[in-house]
Amino acid sequence: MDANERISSLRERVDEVDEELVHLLNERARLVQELAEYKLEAGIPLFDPRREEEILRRVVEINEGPIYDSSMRDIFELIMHRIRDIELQRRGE
Amino acid sequence: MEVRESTGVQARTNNGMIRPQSFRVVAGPCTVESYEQFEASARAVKEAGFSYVRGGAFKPRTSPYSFQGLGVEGLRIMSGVAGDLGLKVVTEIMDPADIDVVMEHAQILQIGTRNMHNFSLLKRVGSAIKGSKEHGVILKRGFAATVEEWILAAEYITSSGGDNVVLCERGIRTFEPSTRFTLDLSAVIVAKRLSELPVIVDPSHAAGRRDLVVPLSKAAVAAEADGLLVESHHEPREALCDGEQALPVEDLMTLRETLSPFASAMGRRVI
Repeated sequence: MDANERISSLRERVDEVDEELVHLLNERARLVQELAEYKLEAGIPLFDPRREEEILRRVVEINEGPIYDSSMRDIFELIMHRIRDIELQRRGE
Repeated sequence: MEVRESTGVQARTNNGMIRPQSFRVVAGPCTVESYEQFEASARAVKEAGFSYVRGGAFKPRTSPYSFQGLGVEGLRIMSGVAGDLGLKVVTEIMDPADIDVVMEHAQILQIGTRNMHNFSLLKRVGSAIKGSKEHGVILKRGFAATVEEWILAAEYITSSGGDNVVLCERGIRTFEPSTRFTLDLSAVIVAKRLSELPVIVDPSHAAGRRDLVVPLSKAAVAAEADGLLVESHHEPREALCDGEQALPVEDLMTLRETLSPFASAMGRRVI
């Protein structure tokens, strides 16, 4: 297998992983939507910094690299905030 | 998209400053200059039918050479006048060392835009008002702070035991020179949805100009704000600070009348 073939096959694998990630992220968003309904009922704020920190600590704990812990935090912060934005919008509709 | 009517207001504080279906107006001078000046301003607040008066005793001035406020003497004037008129006092706290004396003379402690990031002050204030049904905090947004940073600053107060926290949007620094700051009304809506905390608006500092105070106040009602913090003075031309943005006291009644139909449309009453 020459270098070009290797690149192609690795890219295919990256595409597969991306597809899985997209499905998983949307699954996460759906769970958060369900949570948000109950939060609204219970009067719990949409933004819960204590819970966010708990999640970020946990992802760092299970992170085995090569992604740096601090980068993993950044990635998950972005995921959480973008998903939270969907809820923020829904509350105004 | 279907347009729905406002579902009313859930925001409130258990010390009664913010009430459901109400729009709370806090008015008064930037700073306490003398007994006579504060008494005239506070009387106008009372006559306009409002029940919270603001006034500065400790002033965070940009220049150390500007008037810094009357300090404890200013607090005494405020609580004396407010006590006689049956008003509640809102004043800024800058130094943790002043917490006790400020709480003795004022019901609502304001944390200013320059102190939003002063976490030790936030924590001290939070633990000082813990359990008090009488006291509360107005936390102004830092003029370069994100909504999330602002809510996290409030979390410093609440996690130290202080409830009755009200957020206050007072404008952010932008490139636009025609106003002193830019009032960020989207932040009012976002902060309320994210945090469930009440949010009020300070149009005076945002605009830095008297002529924009009333239109921005109307916009604040429409943006679902829970109240206003507005500067008023019996002689704006002679005010020791921020005279150009202070409403003449005789305009307070007009402000109330102007806001009332807007508040009604939002299912609220101006108080």
